[in-house]
Amino acid sequence: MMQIRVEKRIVVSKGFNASIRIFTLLLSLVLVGILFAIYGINPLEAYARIFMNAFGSEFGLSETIVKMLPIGLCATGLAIAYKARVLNIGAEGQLILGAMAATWIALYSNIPSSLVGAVMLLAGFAAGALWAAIPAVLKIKLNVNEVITTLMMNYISLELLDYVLTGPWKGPSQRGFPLTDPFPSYARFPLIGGTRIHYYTLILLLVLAIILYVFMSRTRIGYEIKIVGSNPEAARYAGINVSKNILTVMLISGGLAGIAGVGEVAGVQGRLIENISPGYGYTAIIPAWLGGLNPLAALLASFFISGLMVGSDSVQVSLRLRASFVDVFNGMILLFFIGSEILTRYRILIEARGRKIWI
Amino acid sequence: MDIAASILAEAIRSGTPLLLATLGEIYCERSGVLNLGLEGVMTIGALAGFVATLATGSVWIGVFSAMIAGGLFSLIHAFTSISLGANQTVSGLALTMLGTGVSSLIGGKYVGQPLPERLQIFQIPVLSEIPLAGGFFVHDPIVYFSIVLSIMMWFILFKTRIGIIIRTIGEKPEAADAAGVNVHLVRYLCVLSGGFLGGLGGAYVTLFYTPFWKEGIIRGRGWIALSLTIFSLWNPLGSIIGAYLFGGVEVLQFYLQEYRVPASLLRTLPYFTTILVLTTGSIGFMRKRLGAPAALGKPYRRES
Amino acid sequence: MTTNENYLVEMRGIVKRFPTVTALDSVDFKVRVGEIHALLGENGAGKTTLMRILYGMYRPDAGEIFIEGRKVSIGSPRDALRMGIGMVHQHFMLVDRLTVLENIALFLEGGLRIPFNEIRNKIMELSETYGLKINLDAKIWQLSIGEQQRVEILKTLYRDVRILILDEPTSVLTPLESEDLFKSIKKMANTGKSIILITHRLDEALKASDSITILRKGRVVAADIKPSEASRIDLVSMIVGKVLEFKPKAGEVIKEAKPVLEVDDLRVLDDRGIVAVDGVSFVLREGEILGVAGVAGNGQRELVEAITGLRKVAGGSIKMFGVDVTNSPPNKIIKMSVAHIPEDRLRYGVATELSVSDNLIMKLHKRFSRGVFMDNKAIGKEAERLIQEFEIVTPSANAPVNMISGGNIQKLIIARELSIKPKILIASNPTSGLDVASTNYVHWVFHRLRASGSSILLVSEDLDEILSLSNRIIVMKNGRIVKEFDRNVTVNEIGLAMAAGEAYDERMRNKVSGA
Repeated sequence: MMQIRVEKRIVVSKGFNASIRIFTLLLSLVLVGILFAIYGINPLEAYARIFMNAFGSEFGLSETIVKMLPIGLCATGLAIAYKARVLNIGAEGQLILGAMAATWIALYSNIPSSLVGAVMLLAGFAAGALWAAIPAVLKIKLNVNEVITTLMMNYISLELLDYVLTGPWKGPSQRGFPLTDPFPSYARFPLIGGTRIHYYTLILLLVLAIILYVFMSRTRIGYEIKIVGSNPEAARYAGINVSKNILTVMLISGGLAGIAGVGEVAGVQGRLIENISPGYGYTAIIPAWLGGLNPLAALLASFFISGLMVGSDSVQVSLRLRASFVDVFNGMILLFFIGSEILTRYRILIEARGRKIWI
Repeated sequence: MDIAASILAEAIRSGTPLLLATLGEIYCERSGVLNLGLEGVMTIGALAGFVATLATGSVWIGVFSAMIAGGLFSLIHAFTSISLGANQTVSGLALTMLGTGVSSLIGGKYVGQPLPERLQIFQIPVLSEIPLAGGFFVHDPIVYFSIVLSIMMWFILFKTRIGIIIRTIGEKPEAADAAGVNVHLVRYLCVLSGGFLGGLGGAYVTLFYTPFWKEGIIRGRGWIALSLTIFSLWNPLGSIIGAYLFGGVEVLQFYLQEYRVPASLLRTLPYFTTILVLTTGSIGFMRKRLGAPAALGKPYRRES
Repeated sequence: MTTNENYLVEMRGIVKRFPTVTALDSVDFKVRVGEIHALLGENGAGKTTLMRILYGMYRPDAGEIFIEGRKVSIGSPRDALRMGIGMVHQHFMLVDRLTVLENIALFLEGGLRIPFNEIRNKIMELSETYGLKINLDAKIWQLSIGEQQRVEILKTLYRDVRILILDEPTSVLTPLESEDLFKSIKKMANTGKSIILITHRLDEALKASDSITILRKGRVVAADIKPSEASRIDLVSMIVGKVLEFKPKAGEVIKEAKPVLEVDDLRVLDDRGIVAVDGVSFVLREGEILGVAGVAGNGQRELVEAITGLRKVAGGSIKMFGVDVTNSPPNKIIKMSVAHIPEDRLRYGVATELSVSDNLIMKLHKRFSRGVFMDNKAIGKEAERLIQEFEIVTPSANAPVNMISGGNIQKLIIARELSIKPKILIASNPTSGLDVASTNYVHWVFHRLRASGSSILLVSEDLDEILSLSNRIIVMKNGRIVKEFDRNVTVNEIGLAMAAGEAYDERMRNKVSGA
């Protein structure tokens, strides 16, 4: 008879935690590798190509960074929201709203050209934050589950985007395609020579990640957010305003996603298009958790996930692989990751034929 | 058939996948497990049903395969949330990613293929001629089945020992444990049946409602079903009302188009309605007594 | 292997280890047929753990169990029930939203159909035989605690158990209800059932049982003692071991001191929206300890939550230091130097994923910040100081709270609440789950706090605690204050007030409000 027992772990080392996370990643790679093999693709070859394409060349690396910008911005914000146990799934919609706000500033406002860049960023932040504020207020006032409302807001923002692109904002010079006119050059973010990296956003991302890290680990509000996330009842008992903290993390995470949207229109596309985000807001959920809800670690994880996306994009044609395998991979990582979290909190004892094995 | 009846019939048709998925989720949540992976489960079911029908030429084999696929797929969530005691919200999200990802990976080559057979409509004579109410009697077998199922599931949940056990496990699992019930087993079975019905709901979309396969064909129905679960106050009979109301909203879009309202804005109607429904389901004093099962989302482990 | 046929239950050499402690260390335990056997010991002595092993909820790490001389393996409560072993837990295993009948039906084995009529008839018969009255169609949340206990007992009797384990059955009952319970138990023993009574109350064991086994720190210190032959003093020292007893002096009744907390005609609803506190008025004066006695669930929890700002007040007013604080948010009340030791320590008291030091400064986190930043150095120092002073056992100040034991969590909470140097302390069952030494320490600290001029509202189910500390005592029943006593009162008098309580007149109310 085999028996499995679970006991609380008394001492947890940081090294053990980190190794579990890495093990999780490897396990997902192996399983997706099996999936490759089923499709008749040599997994080792596929991974080698993905890796080389993502990190092995100057072009690949720069493309990885281009993707890391929106994913990283969303992920660092989400990490903080999740730390407060506010499950914002709406980064995608918040990103789109940010992009729309920037587009309005670039094309329809009369702001002096020298200020347009800064105003776009501010407007993008505000739009994303406001879009996130709706579910936040519903949660605070009426206890409405934010997972579903933020998700519905994503669907709504997609239709809103479709509406402006097919209606009022459709570029007169675009021959009926659902695109806006290109932004004037003063509303475009400058690029690092020879790449598509819009360095305004890159600098902003790095600075914000560090600020958020310090914010969470050193400041009073960060402390309050952690208490709210661990036990909202205890937070209330300790005189902490739970609603205010929920609103704060929603505004921050929504605002950061909004900035990500600004970067996409002003830095990458130079106009608003239907497919402004191939699901960056959803993808960002993974690095947020993978980084253990730590903003800096989430940034690092974003870099990795972005590399995976770039690498897989480029092997799509050569290996005839659909890009959606990245979704599969992401789903698996996330499952294994939260599944393996149990190992950091509990020891598992397997007893079989008188022998005991501790995990 | 009069116009009112045909609108009702349309509403029922578009509400049926929601009804099936909601019924499954009600049992799942009544046993204390929140499955946010419903969107993924439905997508898997939609594809499995479509592919099996293409392969065998039999729509019923398709239906059956969809249920099996949905059930097996939801077992992943059962394992992480019940056996491992992991965060159910995140596990459900991961399941949705995995489900939509896997189906678009596998489903690529089926895009645009025509279905050899569709579910047949069985119009019930005489009854279908009744004004308005006739809208209930012009459907395929799955619609009839889903209505009968709602009533059966209501009866089981509130009138039988199995129902008492499920409700106890969702409220106070240690009480069921003390009575000698295997809490984890019952939760597994509830998640499994949620998977069966989610898969069936997905298959209803690809085998009848919009009989083809494309990526994202479920279009948020899984999430809508999740909010209907709350709206119905975890009661299978309530879910009938909720699902058809939603079906009605979707039908309404087509009728409103005549008034030259932009299509994209009309398409937001179900999503706004979901938020509204969720909000009304979340307020009110009754929520304390009729609200979510007390142990919803909490893993059960005996050792304290 | 043979064993004495007289014993219905025999447990031999039972060992149970938990990650941090050995809960049971080679314990032997025997019960005869038709005997009421008291399993006596302090909180944490291992009584419940031992019985959970007998009931199949825990697996022992070593040891054997014999039922009627036959060696058995009890893998689950289901197994236990089939062998005729039933248990009524301290926290009832009842589902609030189900009816009594449904709760009993859950407990039966059988097919899909529920034989409601059969159950009804048999329950009627059982409640007749043992004097356990119950309304089968009521929902559990509509019942009093005493009634709920009856449902629990009936559940096990329905399964024809021969061995019935009762875990601290009187802790939630009034003295009168306890009397009724003991009568029922006696009847059961007379029909040949064996009853195991888990208790930490010596008097109860002496009065109600045929035989006593005493556990201390996971070991049997005395077995099969006949109550008639036992010496009280010996038993006490066996239960608690050697401890230095701190005997606090109950304070004088203070009439002149100015009021610090004035509660007037307070009405508070519980989670279900039912009136839990129904027109309560009292005054807490500077430098006094006001004891609030009463059986748990009579509105004490809601009263405390209303005073500390955690629950909305439906009517009446609360004043602190002359300022109206009715429906003020918790942080405003904390700012007035009001500390709160909550009844439900895991619900309110701690954020378990965070470190011991983070939890220790939870109430004062604003004081431990410089500008927007937290002052980690000062926090570390304060944490070390409190850990030492209150002897909180933890791997380190940075270890998460979910790694320390329940008793140490309670010490952590008390340390934190006292660290804010409260002018008013609202304490709910402050010493539950603490060992004797820690309990004494807490009592000493309360004593010192009062001496320094602070006031304490002491809500406790432990009448000895209330009697030994309070200047005055009020008794709550059904959300009302039914009686006020000064300190010259006996446990029996308070007990009587806790049980009666229906008689409530205006005169009493005026007297209590100190008007």
